[in-house]
Amino acid sequence: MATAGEVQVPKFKLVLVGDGGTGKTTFVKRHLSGEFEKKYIATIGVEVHPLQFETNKGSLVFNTWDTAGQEKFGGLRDGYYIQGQCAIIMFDVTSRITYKNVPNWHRDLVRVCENIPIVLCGNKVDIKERKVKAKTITFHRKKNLQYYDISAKSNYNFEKPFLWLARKLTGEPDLEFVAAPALQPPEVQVDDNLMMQYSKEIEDAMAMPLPEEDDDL
Amino acid sequence: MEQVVEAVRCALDPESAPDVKAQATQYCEQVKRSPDGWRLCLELFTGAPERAPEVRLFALQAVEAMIGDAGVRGAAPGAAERLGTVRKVLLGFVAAQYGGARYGSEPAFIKNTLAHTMAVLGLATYPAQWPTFVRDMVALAGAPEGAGAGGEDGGAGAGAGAISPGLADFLVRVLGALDEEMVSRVVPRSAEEAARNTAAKDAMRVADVGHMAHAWHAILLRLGATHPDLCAGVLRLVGAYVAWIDINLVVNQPFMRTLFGLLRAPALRCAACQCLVKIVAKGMPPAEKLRLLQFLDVVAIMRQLDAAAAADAEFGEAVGQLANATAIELSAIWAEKDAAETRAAAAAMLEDLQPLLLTFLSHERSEVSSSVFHAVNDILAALKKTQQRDGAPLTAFQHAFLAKLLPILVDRLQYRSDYPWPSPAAAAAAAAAADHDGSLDEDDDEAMFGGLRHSLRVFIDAIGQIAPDLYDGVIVAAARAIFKQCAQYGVSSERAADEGGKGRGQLGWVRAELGIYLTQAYGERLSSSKGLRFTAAKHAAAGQPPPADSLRDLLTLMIQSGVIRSTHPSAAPVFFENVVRFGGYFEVQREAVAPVLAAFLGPTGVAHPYGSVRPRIWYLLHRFVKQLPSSSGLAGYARDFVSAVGGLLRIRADPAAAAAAATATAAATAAATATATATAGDRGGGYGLFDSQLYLFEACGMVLAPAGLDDAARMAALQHLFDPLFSGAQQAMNARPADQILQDPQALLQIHHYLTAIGSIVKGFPDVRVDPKTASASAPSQLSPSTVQVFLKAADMCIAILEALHASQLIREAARFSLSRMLSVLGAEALPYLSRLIHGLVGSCAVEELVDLLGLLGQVAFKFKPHVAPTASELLLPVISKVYGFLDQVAQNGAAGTDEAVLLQELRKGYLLWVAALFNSDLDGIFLAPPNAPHLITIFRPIATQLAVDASSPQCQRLAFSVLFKALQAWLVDPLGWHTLATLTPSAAAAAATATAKDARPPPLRQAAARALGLALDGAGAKEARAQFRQFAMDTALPACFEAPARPGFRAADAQASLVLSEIAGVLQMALLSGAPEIAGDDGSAVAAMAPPQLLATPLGGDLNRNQCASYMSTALLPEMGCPPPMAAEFVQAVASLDQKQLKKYLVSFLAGGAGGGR
Repeated sequence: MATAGEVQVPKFKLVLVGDGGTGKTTFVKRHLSGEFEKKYIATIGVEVHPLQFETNKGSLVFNTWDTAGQEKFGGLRDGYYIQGQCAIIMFDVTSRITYKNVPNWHRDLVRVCENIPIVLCGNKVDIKERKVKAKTITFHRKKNLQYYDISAKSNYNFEKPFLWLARKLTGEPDLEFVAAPALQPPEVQVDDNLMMQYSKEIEDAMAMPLPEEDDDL
Repeated sequence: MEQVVEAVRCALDPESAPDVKAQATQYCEQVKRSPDGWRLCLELFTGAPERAPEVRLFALQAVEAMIGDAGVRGAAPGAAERLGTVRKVLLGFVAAQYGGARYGSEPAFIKNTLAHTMAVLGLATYPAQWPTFVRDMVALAGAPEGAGAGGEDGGAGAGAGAISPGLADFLVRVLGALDEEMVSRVVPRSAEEAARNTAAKDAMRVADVGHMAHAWHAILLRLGATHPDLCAGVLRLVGAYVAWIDINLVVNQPFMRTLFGLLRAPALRCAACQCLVKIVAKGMPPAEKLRLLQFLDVVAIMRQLDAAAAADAEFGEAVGQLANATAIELSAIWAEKDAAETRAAAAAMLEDLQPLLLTFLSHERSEVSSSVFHAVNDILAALKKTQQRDGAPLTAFQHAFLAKLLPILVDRLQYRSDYPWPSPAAAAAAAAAADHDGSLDEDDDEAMFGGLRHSLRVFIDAIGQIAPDLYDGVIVAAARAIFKQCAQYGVSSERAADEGGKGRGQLGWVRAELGIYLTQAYGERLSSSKGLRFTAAKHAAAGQPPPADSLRDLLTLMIQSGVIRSTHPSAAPVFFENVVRFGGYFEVQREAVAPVLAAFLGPTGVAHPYGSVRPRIWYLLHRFVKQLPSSSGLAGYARDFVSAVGGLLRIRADPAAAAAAATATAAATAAATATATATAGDRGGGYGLFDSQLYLFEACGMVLAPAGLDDAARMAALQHLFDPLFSGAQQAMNARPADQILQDPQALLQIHHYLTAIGSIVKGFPDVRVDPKTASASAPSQLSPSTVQVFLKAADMCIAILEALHASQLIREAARFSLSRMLSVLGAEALPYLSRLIHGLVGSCAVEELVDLLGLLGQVAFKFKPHVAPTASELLLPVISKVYGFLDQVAQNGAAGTDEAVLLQELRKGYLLWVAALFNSDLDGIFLAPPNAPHLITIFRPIATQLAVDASSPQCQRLAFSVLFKALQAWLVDPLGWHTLATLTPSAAAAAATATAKDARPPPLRQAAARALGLALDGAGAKEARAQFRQFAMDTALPACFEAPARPGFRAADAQASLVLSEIAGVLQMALLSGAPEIAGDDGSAVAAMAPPQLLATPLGGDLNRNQCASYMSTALLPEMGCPPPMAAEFVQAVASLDQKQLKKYLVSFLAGGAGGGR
């Protein structure tokens, strides 16, 4: 209950965009204000989630506009971006087409919101068969965006995009989150070394000529 | 109309009720899709009174949707009329409204979106329907008529008032949107759009770009002083368009005079400079490019801008980019093969530019410094290329340039003195959480600095290649000087700079780290170019010392300098990395082992005051000990080692990891076939500090393993290590009943850690060698009897805990890890635990565990061969039914998602690999053993009818056919087990057949396995099972060979599929072999016993009339599939006469032709 004397918590409108099925809704719902969705339900139009974070400079809230990625549920599309103060563009590292479409989302976004801080996020890095390799992710450098690998399923890097945006929006480069945001516990554990090892193993396995040679005891 | 306004408001309002919002959204969609919705929206957008901006934005979207529906070239029926209307209304609106004050109050997003609408409208109708698109837009802005930069005054003759700033701004936005829609390469486009865009560009080059350039110049000239933002936009446009328009429209005296003027205007100089960068970088033939650069005289301009660039970092970066772009172009021209004159001119200009590049490179701001990295890279590459191609030595100038460049690069390698190091107390978890993925956080100093160093190292290494002497002189000398200074004056852990200025007095931490880092850089360069071979100092050959010698001396200096005494967190990780990376050094420099181990165990080693670097050092210690030569007398350090490390081994499960593990398990249970993909492995498993402690446990094991160690000392140390683990685990187990422990994630994790730690200590001991040829499995053990006793006690405990807590995935994982280590180390002594382990695991394991478990079973089979036969036989049916339990469950319910589908694919692969491993370990007898024999066909049928023909996974197909191949061979070709299966590929079989009897006599392992099972290979039971298998092979396995490649989705051209065809060829040949009269007998009923050395091999050739398999294929199987009898006969002849490779080729053409011929 906010009393009259209380300081207003700063609120920022965050627009979350990207192709359908890249995990935008799952991502926002990792924050405990929502619930984790196991099944994929396409978002219709937009859903707004106020996500609160505690920082060493006080609390702040990202009013996160989770927009529909799928054309048929597109709704007002660009209309949702109006007065957006920051944005996250999401793609799915297991699906090349979703990365290919990032420039379209970016273009539509900056037409409506000029000069806002934007983070590009490659989601689903917990999945072993990654298609969009880190090396090929270059769009953010061309457009001065920040990039993060994330995994909504395992909470990997969950707070990174928010932290970066918070620093940009407040102009406080030394802003930190003081309490870890209350997240749903991770579904899976991500370990990058392990993941690299997996992918190498798969490649090695493909290169291996005959099964009878695996006497690697 | 008001309804639309209301609907847009509701749809956008986050407060509206969900159903209202859904309804409103749907209504808006309807308007957008209705045939005349756009007319209404056009009115909404332009009409008075002015509507809310959200509504107008929606209106424009609806109009754009109509334009999109009109087709890429606006050619849909009736579109021309609709598009014409839109054009008229919008042009009228812009002309009437944007010339005056209204433009200032119009929201930016409306201007941008309208500009975008105009651009897509123009692009859809230009040039056929709207040939004057560009000229109309230019005219609106009020720019004076003319094409190109035209007159000297850029058309300034017309009154300045003629250009409306608002309309000019709108023009800039339209052309910006046009660039994005028509040219920009980051936006993906269809082929149709690309063709349309090319045509539009061609038309514009003819008729319009001159008008554009004219307008740009006029705006810059007239409004440069008063409207900087507008002009910055124009400069961006020039930069974007110059790539595809005639360069002379921009690069001419008047335009350039204006541009150079803007380089001195503080508000516009960055934009002007960036525009110039784009002009310089335009793709052109080398000679023309050189003329352009000469005309622009860029180097002279940059010299004039030097002072301003030094003062303003942003402008400095822009000028740096200009120097960078110019140097890149010049290097490219210089590196060309011919045109000596052009090359010489470019080289001269480049030399002119180089001092400037060095100035930028040594700029204190890293943005400025790194702006010329690309140029440095290209210059070095061009040097390397010309040097290799022409074989010419470096010119004096080039050498001098490199001699100036290298020290600057070395200087940049240093940490900045204000680098934000974490405090000593910072949790180790922070280090563990460091990014190792594609996310480069600009706030993440570590990642930034790492990236910077990486680039610098590439340059420095390139110089090492171009001018090795210079490299050695600078790099080695610098490191040497630093270590000598350290040895003489010591090193400070707090102060960044050297005590008495650079190079004097006590060393500061910055240069201390630099010395260690340069040693690493030097060593890595050596090992990448020549491979490292150290020679002992005393044996050094006369004459030129090999380079490794100077590294050896440098490492000796580093170790003796005492630089590791610095407690600064920058020093120790690189220091210890060096001793691990260049481990060969210790083979020639035994006496260095003691001081390095002392450093590891000392105050800046494993117990480093900075928690954040400790785990890294633990890992490095593990690596160091692991690669030490066996003769280095490790045993002598055992006592000190264990007592120094012992204090760091307290196990405390991380509550966060416990919570995570609990959820993962819960999810696994809920979904039965767990969705979790990556369970924590045995290393780096996401358990925080404990992951790193495991390295210490294992290192302790390695230190205690050498036979040279006194057994009493070993026992004392082992007790010291094991006792806390044993008692910890026992206490945890005894505190509460198992069902309560299972409810407590923290307790489970703690027990998991105890078990894993035990396994890690054991892992430090070497694997036992099992000799499958001996009758008894107890090979002479390298372990002392007392060690064996301790390990067996540990194994007892692990099994007991597993049996009590097997419902927990964590405990199963830990027990599997630890007991598999004990199996490797103890050998046959631990075999009695195997079946208890597997029973404990199989009952409750999840899919991904089962995959790991199958791998373990395969390894055990391979290692112990006949010795494990009874256990393997006993486990066969439970494991198989578990595998099919999972597969069937999904077959009924369908895979829940991609994750699960991937997991099941892994399971199929793991299963087939395991079955293949059983054959390769000569354990085929277990399938024929009495309890399993009745299920023989049940086991093999799905392999032939499902896995072998599933085109979605060629990998599994290949494995499935290879299993069938082995089975045919084992039971129908060599039923009495004279030959080992592991090495018998079809080609090896051919070789074995021609080899002499002596060579071809491997130990009859398969017979040994059968004996261990109590199975008589020539007994009635085995014969009956084989007869069933023969029937199965004809009815089921052979048809699968033809069905697999005929399935849709099987692409013979695919490399994986090609391997499948090879296996199929092998199976066909093996089947044919099994039908040969020598083996099958004339009537096929009797299975003849082959004498030991004999082995028939493919190609079989000869008379096929008595081969029952041949006649089955040519008279029954193939004709039934629709193959004409002559063709079938030819096919069988091919199988008999070709080798496997040829047969595969034949198979490809047979299948291609057969498909047509068969129908």
